[in-house]
Amino acid sequence: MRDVKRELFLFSMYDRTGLQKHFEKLAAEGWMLEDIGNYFIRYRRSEPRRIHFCVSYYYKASAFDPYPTEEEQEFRDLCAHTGWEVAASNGKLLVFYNEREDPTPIDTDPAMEVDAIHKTMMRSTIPAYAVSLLTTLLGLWLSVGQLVNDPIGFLSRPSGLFSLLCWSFLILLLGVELGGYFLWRRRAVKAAEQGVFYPTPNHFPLQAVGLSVFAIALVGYLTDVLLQSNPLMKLITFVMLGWTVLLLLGVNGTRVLLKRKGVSRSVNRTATLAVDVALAFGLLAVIVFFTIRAAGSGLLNDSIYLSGDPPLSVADLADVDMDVYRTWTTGDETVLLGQYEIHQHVDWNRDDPDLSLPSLEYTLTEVKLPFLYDWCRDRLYHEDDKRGEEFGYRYEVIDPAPWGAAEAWERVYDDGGRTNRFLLCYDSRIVVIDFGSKWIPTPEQRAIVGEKLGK
Amino acid sequence: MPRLKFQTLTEQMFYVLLCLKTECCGMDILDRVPAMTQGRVSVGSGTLYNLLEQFLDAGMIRETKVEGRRRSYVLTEAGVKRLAEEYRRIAAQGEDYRRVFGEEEQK
Repeated sequence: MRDVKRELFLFSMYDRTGLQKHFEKLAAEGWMLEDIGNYFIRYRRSEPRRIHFCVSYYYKASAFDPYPTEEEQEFRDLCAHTGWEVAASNGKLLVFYNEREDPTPIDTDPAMEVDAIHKTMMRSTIPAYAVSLLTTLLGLWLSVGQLVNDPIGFLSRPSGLFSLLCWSFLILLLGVELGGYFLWRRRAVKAAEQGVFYPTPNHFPLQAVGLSVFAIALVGYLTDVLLQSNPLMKLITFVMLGWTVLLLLGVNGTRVLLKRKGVSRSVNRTATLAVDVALAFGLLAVIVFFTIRAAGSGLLNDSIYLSGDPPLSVADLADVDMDVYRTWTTGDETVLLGQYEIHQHVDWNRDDPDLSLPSLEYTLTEVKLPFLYDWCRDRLYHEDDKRGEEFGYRYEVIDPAPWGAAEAWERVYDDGGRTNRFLLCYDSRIVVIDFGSKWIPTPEQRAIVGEKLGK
Repeated sequence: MPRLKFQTLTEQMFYVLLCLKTECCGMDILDRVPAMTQGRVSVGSGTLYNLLEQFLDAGMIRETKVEGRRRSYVLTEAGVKRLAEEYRRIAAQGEDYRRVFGEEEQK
């Protein structure tokens, strides 16, 4: 039977009502509060007891203090005089318990309590949340920008989908926390004028849902990276993930270690900040180092995102020696969409390359959810159509039968000339294929394209 | 502004100041207020801690001695004056009450 229990700290900093009730409930179940960290709350098994808890806010304290300051200790002494003993503390948050039947509360003046909570919030939580909200809004703005410019590509990238989901939920959480606090404060100030303590709102369910969504999205993202991305992307993703964990543990660990060593508040704060900056820049340096190394070794140029050979190659359509060709295959996929680009050209790096040989470029858009199909097709159609207004070409409906497709368009110049680019619709795949200027696909070649790419 | 805060004293503020007519420390105040009011008024330790700090800032009390972590305070002249003003305000309210209900009883 375990004697220690930990749970995630999913309460708002100012939610004294929720915290008090929660600690009282657990104490009655035989779990006594022992420690409050930044992320976890620890309890120790004890005799089930009906005791009172009180959450108090000592705004002058700091999470970097090695031990309670003389002033804070005076405050604790006063509380102890009325039976309130400290169960746990974390910086400005002090949790007291009292075994007396009907103790005098620590705060008997609601206006003063609201004032103490506000000072605490303004000195720590609110600035941190405000900076996080701004950063998150910037992240969302960048993600939405990518989504607007290249929606199919964006929704095909696990990182795109993951970031969009995370930014959205973070903004919701931070918005609710910040908005909820100021709304509560306004009401609490009014209630305090009447001598009433206004209960704090409980955002526990929202925080729990937010965290679950983040965890599910992270697992989905990592699974996608593991299954589909190229080795470099895998490496970068796992280095970033590992480093983030290291950063969190390193920063928090430094602070806790220096506290235990009795180092002063200012020294601890400076050292923790230095570790934070060093680790953050270290991560940047590691990513740059690996990217440069990968670029130097040609890994970025020849990156194979799609495992195995491309589904259609120049050799399937013409009698050519593939040794003189070079293939670039890039792309990714998510639970919604997949998009792969395959380029096959004569290798220009070879001695005396034969530039008269045909080339092939095509994009495969895999639609996983049927309701997205028409939207993807229209998007691909209009992308070319928009460019066509500038360059003088447009899509024209052609017979899909030779391609074995359900629908087909060919891009033609306004003067009727061919561009050799086709948009082909198959069951769950949309193909944009470009034969370049060296060849015009014959009916046999069109049938092979349908056979290889249609599914 | 702290002084504006104390234009009208709450019941808890009034009794804390009243206790400080003679020198005493925070713990003494916590015991004296309920004793003085037969348990009708109690001051919480957190509230008292903040009140003492605000009274000090407003110059209504001053620190007299520090024994370990125990600090003692006493009313200043400004504090005595403010307490007297508050007493007069409360007394005037009492007078008003007696005048209204006293007249009704005579009828």
